[in-house]
Amino acid sequence: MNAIELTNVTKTFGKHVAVDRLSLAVPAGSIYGFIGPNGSGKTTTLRMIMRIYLPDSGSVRVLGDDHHNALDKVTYLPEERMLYKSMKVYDVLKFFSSLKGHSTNRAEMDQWLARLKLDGWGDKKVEALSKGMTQKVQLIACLISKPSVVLLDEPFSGLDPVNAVVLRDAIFDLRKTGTTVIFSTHDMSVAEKMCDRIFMIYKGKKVLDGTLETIQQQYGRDTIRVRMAGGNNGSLSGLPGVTGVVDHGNLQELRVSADANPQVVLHALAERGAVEHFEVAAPNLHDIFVRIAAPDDQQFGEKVLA
Amino acid sequence: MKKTLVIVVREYLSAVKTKSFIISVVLMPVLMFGGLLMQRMTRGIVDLKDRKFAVIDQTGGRMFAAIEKANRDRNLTITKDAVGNPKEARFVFELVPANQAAGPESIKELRYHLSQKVEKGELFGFAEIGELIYEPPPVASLASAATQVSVREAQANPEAALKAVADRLGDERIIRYTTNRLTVMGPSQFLQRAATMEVYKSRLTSAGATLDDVTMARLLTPPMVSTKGAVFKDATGKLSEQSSGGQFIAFFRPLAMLMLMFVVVMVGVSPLTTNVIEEKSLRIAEVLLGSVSPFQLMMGKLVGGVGVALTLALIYLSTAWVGLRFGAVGIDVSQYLTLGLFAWFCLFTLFAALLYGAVFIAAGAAVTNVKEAQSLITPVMLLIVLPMFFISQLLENPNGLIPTFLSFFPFSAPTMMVARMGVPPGPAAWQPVVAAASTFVATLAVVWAAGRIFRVGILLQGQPAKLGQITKWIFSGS
Repeated sequence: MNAIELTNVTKTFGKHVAVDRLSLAVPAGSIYGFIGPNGSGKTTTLRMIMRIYLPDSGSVRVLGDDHHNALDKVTYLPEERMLYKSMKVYDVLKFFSSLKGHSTNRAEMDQWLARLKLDGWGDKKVEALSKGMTQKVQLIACLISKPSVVLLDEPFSGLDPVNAVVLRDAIFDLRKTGTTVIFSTHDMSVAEKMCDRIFMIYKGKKVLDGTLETIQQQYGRDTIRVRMAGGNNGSLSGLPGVTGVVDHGNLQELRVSADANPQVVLHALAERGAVEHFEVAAPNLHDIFVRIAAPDDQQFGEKVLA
Repeated sequence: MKKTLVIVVREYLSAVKTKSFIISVVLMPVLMFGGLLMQRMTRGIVDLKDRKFAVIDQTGGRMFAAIEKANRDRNLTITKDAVGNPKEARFVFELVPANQAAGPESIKELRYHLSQKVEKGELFGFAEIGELIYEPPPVASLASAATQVSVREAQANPEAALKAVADRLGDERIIRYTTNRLTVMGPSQFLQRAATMEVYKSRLTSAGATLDDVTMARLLTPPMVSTKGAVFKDATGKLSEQSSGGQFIAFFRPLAMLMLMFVVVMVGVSPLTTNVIEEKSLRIAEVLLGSVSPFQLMMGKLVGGVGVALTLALIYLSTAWVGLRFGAVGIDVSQYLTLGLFAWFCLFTLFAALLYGAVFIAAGAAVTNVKEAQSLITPVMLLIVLPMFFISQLLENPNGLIPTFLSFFPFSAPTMMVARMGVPPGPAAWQPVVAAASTFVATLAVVWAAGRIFRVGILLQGQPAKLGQITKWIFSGS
């Protein structure tokens, strides 16, 4: 069963097409990553799922329902969100829980606060909390009503490593209870490591959708990672079958054409110097993202190293 | 509905549980009526330094002598407070030698010289007695089209006609009083009284009536006109007259009701603008819209704000009732704060709070910060205070054209209609009903339009919406 289904959804603002004939199916119980450059339509898509925006055309079904009522089972945490500063933490949690038709109690709130290491802060006003604490309270406010689907817009942005781990664990715990989690992120490594499926939107259109494996298969093993003794000293230009080079300092990535033979490349490299590392690999999500979002980017051009 | 109620409760509690609400409950009446109270309390505190006046008497000292005598009497009869301090300052008059003021140029020089003394504080003012002051002013001869006074009017009511032609009288026929303390009326009123008595005495003597001063003063005491309220039937059918405080209450009640509604609307619903801006900028609105529709959110905020306004109205009205019933005034409250008036006040307050609350919310939704909101809110504020510009017309003639028009124009109807109802005998019974109906229809329209603006504006970030855009939101929905 799909938790979310978008069929041919289009949303425009004036003359700008924010989302263009988008179809998407998010399986129930999965962790779904939304990636895409800024302004590509991620937040608009999330807002349409929450019915904050209504699509110009197409349909949005949430938990099999296309009415507002289903949203009681869906919670949403926008990017750069804050809370009412003058409210006490208990009151905030109670308020957001009531808006989802869930009646929470002190014991349940204390349980959540303890779980996120905020014991004893329930009676404090939000303005007394640190930024990290506020983010945890926001997360509790989002999860306390026991939603079936959770939408998180850039949840990791601005989090310190400790709180990022707390959030990551909370997301994995949700998956264990069968909750569907959709989150948008700019951190490709987070998406690679955490998501069951990844969806990329670019200029309002779906450009990637599937597991990491299936996405990588579309691009084949067209990447060679090498490290030359003495570093990159210009010895990587003009290699046979290499269409682009990007220098990471201690490691260089070569993109090769589909008909290129890695053995020929290795042989050519060995003639130019001592090869310390040679690995034929599929492109990672970051590379794929850049190839789609910045196809003319010079980082894979010979000019970079010329 | 249940979710809207959740928002209503949050909005209401977040407003009334704050220190600023409690402070404004206490502070608003203090600011509004504190001035009056202070004036009353400090009435006894006056500058008791002698006030010196120079007198240029062109009657050869005759009028000066009369003024001096009246002033001696005045200074002797100045009342004293409980600790023996006089309640008013003494006046001191000094005669300027007549030879200093011969010829038009020298009189101007003398005026300048005396004005300098006034500037320096050596004199409080100076008076010039015209040489023909004892003669009856030639009002009839001054009556003309230019002065808009007919000869017949001048003969029938010379006093009123004299005021109309006063500017045309030459200096020789008036007492010219010069001061830089134009707001202090005491000295000019004293001069008027003293000169009137002296001139009347002179004219009566010329007419053959030789009377002593006491008899003269007794005979010239004018009759008294005392204004009373209407006679009414109380609950038992007994005919009663309004108590001695009636006139004051009749004057004070419409002002108090007008101010009270203004205060409750301002304190109750005007914070909705900043409230909406805060929710927008903190992105709380986005979270809320994931649970409720924009209209539910707006109605929740609006009803919460209206609740705050009505709470305030209830606090102030019940305090006023208790104060009037058991306070120092000790009058029959039911006569001044009737159940009917109370009900109308609450109904119009409800409409005003809904109407203006919706506008305040829409303004908050259409902008991105408080500074931008000011330019949108200022015209709305002007509409709220509009009836205040017409208070004198309201008290003079509550059923006049302007008060009547304003009591039907939806944005001013709530305040103006209750103010009119506060002035006895009040408007015709059908008028509040029609005003309430028109305000109700306007309120529905404004709430609807605000809902359309709110739906689009609440997610607006960056640039504030232009007026054309806002209009488009209302009519096309995006």
